[in-house]
Amino acid sequence: MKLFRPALGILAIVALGLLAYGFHVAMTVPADEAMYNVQRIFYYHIPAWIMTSLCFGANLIGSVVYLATRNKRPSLALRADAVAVATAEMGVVFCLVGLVTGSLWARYAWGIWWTWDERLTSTLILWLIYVSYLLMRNFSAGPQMRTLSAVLAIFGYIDVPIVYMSTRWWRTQHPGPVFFGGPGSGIAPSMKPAVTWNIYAWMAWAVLIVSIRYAVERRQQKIDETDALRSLESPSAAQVEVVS
Amino acid sequence: MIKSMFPLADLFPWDRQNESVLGHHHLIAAYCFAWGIQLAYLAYLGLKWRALVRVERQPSNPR
Repeated sequence: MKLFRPALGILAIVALGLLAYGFHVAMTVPADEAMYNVQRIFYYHIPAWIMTSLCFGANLIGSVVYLATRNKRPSLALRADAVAVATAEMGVVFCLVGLVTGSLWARYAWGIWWTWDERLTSTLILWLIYVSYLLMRNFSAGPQMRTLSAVLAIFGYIDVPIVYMSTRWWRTQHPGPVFFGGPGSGIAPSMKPAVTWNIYAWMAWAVLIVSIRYAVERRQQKIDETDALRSLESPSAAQVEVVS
Repeated sequence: MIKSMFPLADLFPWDRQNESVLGHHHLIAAYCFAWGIQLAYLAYLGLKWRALVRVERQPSNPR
């Protein structure tokens, strides 16, 4: 904890600096010839999806580690669970940013806010899966809550590769893959600096916010643990609290 | 007047020559939404942290 706060401060300065520079680059690279300035939405849209994938990937790892260690190493399991909830919340926020910025771009590019094509629909389902994961965590209690959430997270992650592959498996209105899409895919050289800097910037922001959320969750876990110990030491007092 | 009120307004490349009615509104809405939701989430974390600190500081709480 002694090193945590200075590290967080440095990370905050780095993240805000990168975000400011990323914003500046996004606003100053030449406008797209076909889409004009609306194409600048892309500089926040792409990083949002990359961060969504990374956050949900980290959530998957945290959930698997929790399930694997919950009986033998409960302390490590609780840390893994804190990582899982922190990355799930961050992923949901980035996923929402991706959906909304995409919709604003689509209104200009396609003339519609939304279409039920495979990419958009699978992405909406992905967002709903992780929202339900967070709702389950918030509104359920008891020792099984973390285990059930971890299992749901593992099943939920199945939708991430489906979202990524949807533009290859089906003919969608959404543009084709930008990364690893074969010949013809990729980013125009004029857009590269804006996309790259904003990926770095939002990555730093994600690490910062996930670290804060992790610290909040660990604090909550310690409070819950102390409460549980207290109720074991004086069960009559705990019963009175429950009754009242 | 606008320049004095919004010194960073030039960062948004408002070019009426090559812009449709929808374009800039959508660009600004997208960026404002992205920042707004991230800052709102940060504020939520701040409130949650403060609530936990208050729980810990309660006199009846032997922590």
